[in-house]
Amino acid sequence: MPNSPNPAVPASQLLQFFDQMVLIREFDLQAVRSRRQGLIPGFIHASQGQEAIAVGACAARQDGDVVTSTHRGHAHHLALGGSVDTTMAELAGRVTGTCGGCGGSLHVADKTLGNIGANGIVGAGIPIAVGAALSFAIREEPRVALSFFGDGATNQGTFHESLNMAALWNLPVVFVCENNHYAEGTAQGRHMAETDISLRAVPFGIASIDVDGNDVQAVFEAASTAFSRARVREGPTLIVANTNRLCGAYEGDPQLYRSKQDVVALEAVEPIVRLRATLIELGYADDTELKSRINDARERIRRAVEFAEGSDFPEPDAGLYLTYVDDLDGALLEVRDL
Amino acid sequence: MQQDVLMPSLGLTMEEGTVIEWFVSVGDKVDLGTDFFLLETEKSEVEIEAPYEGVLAEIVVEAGRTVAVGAVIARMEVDQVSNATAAPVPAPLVAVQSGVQDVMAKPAVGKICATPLARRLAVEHKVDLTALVGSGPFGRIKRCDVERGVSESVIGVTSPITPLEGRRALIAARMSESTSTTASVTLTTRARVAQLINLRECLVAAQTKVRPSYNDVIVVACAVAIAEHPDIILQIHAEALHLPENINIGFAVQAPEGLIVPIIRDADTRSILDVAVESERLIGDTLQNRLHPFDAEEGVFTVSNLGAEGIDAFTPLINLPQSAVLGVGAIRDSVEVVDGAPFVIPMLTLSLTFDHRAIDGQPAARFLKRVVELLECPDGLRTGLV
Amino acid sequence: MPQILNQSYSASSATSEMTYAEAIREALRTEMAHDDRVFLIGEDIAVFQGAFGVTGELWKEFGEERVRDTPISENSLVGVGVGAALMGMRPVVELMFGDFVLLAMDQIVNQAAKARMMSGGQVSVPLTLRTTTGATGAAAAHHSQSIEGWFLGMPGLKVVAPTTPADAKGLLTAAIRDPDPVVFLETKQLYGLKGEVPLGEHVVPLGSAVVRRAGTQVTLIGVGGATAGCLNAANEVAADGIDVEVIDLRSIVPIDTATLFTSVEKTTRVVVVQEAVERGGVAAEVAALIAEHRIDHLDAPILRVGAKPIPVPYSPTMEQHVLPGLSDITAAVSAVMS
Repeated sequence: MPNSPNPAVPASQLLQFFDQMVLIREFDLQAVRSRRQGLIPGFIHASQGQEAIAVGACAARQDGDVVTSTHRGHAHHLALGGSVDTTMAELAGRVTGTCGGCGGSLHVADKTLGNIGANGIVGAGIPIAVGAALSFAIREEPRVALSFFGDGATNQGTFHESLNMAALWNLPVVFVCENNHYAEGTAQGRHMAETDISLRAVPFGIASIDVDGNDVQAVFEAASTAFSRARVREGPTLIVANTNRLCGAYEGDPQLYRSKQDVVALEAVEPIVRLRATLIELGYADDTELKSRINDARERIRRAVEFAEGSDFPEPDAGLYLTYVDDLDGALLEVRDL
Repeated sequence: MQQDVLMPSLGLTMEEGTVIEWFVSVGDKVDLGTDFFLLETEKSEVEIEAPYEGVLAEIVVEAGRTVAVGAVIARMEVDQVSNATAAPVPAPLVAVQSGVQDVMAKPAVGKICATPLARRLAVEHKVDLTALVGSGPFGRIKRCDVERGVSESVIGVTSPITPLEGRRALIAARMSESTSTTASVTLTTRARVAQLINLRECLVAAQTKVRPSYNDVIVVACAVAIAEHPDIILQIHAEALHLPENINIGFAVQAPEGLIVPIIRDADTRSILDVAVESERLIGDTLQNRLHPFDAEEGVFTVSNLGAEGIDAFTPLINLPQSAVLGVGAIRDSVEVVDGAPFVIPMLTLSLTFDHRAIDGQPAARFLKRVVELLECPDGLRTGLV
Repeated sequence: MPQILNQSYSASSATSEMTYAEAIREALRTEMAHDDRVFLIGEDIAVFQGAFGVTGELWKEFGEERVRDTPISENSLVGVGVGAALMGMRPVVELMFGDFVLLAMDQIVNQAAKARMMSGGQVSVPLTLRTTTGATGAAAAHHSQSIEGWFLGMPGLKVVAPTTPADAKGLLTAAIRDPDPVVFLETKQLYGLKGEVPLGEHVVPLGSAVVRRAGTQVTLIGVGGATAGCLNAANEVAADGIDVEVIDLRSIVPIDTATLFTSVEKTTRVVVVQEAVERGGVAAEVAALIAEHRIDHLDAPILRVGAKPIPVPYSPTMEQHVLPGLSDITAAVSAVMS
């Protein structure tokens, strides 16, 4: 169903949301294909269906704000403005990747964009975001840290410890739970005693917002509110954004935990479909234009693949590797002259 | 210019080798150190590097063939100037180095329990680990054991290969001449030397000028015996027998560069203390490498004493042109039968080698018997004490 | 402002006698005074003045913002340190007992140690982790472990274990100034040890071992607190005419092989002593390094002295049996001499 029109959100911004979500969607679709074809050696976690959360939340970010991401981090990175070229190259393990090929899909990071890292450990980014927020508080900077995590992560000790400390010290942090109702392959009802995640903010006295995670506008509004509150030190916020993962938990997931019909039903209400309907209804764009935008995105992805394929692999003996074995600028010294 | 490449030798025992595979082809430019071919010996497979810089012109021995060490296996076109400094035949050098390796790789060494440090030192000092007894746990050979082995090994050998020259060459020649020329026979006997020991101790206690050795007394005894049995010093020169006039007795001294025999002239005219003083001077000069030639020539008889090293009887070689040499062993307490009863008596073993061309057995034996008498009852010897 | 990091340095030749614990506090005070980025975080470090009294009244001097008590949340409090460090702060994180690092291993190893590599060199984590090591007598299994060897196999961390008050101050200073994560191990039993400590700025560079007692016949290498036992053993065997050289390893990662090898070349015999379990620890790594690179200098097998592979028992008789004692060290020295 189409979103309720909000005159406060201009057409240009909605179209930008559309472009971003489509770019993320096309990127991850390609990443799946590239993984199967061998360009991407490692395993990947695609974000199909969850794009609205990444786009809506990151749109509320200002310069200087930082984000900790998850193992399902392509969407966050691209939503922050990451380049599809360097991201694809990173997944392909090339020296031109965002992390020089050293991190891969699970560790995509770009400090200049405020992405302080995707994470292979569920829940690990949450206290790190709190730490970043602590540094802003100590230095009295008007900066905010945002932490993305899924419903599964809210069972990690780090989630509770982090909410507690963030509230205790009134830190400028926004917690965004991408509730896709699965922790890997386990449905929410089977991994949570109480499935209302927003209740988890109560013990710590933190404000929480439940939001339709497939409505990019709604996510943007919720995030804007949370960022504003944090920035003036009114306290952290827990945003629980309900969404669905259209793809498997990871590429190659046989998805034994749900049926094909389930997925089809979800596809009918996924965020891009909904935004598309909204744009058309509001007269901001027509079908042809939207299709054209999708094609543009596909073209950019195609070029990104070319870029990745044409890039070199990193030299094992050069660059970063050496900082672990050489004394450069006081960096880590592991091996001495024997 | 063309350069033959030979089948290299990789060990003292390697006689032939098999070319398993060529890593280069005819026409290839080859640098020194490039992998050239794969060689199989009875012990192992080894990648052989190119011994010359140049172009491979011809493969003489194809892969799979076995040839003897030193056979031509390939030919290279080399630049004359650049190879001027290359080892002319690299194979022998390889052989020497690998020879050492082979010694280390012998199975016997592998069974020896020795610390890594001991092994390294044994190689460096050319000490045979199999000959050592280890003082460590489980009989492990340690550094101190190797060091002991080094100090007990042949004096003077400091490098693996030393040219035969100088004193050593001279000694080699003279020993060879002696054994090939003389008809040497060695008589051994033993003397009861309780009184000799007593005499020496008295002489040592009675004066402080010099410390006489047993050797000094033996020299005097020999001089007396020679005077009574002059045949023992007959010398063969140019198909004739000569009897020297002066009883100059030499005694063997082990100098670092080799054996030297300084002479005590007219030993028959000297007392034991005289001889002691003289021998002390001569030994000092010898060890300091300043022995005058006069003090080393015209000896007519030689005394060689290995008693200090624990030797009993041995077969001293005749010191040409002399005809006899007396070998002196250690003084040992021994159980001897006297009048049917056993006693512990200090005994000295004497070995007299004589040249049967000049002297017969019985006269030689009588001379030796006289020496024994004089040593067993040395009262008659002039001591030089006043 | 450039800081001295990789060389020995003392601002003044004046010294003062103080305990190991006081020396650590001195280092913290000195660094916090001249570097705003340095702050302390841990359990009971402020009002309680530190479980072992190390932080003392620093909280009064610098305020609770910079000397920050935390809830009991080991993993997340280290994570908070990681986040702050990523933002350029210099957190000094305290974990009360070395045994508790296990609760925080994800943040220490997966996050702090790996961040530089994963990000392709974009970030470093200048975090200092202070924790305690070693048995104190009847503290039982959860409060007695010697943990020096736990981080050997985790690339990205430096580890030091000082044994004197002067070294405690100097090494902690270097650790705080280091751009990468450093695990600073405080041997509990040494907190009361007195020694002369240089006043003012004092730096002992990471990665250096030191000869505490020169000798000629055996190299006795002490890991952390075991060094004192080595010195006692050296005195005891001197009566038997055995001349022992004692080396305080001081730096676990990286190991100062140059100092060790120089000693081995001189003595040809090596014994490595640690309070930690003998199996698979620092001594094993030191032994392997010496055997690999100086085999031809060894006139005896390398011996290790360590605890038996049993969780530290409570009752004193059992604890003494498990932990290595003076007689174990002297026996090892005699063994290599035989």
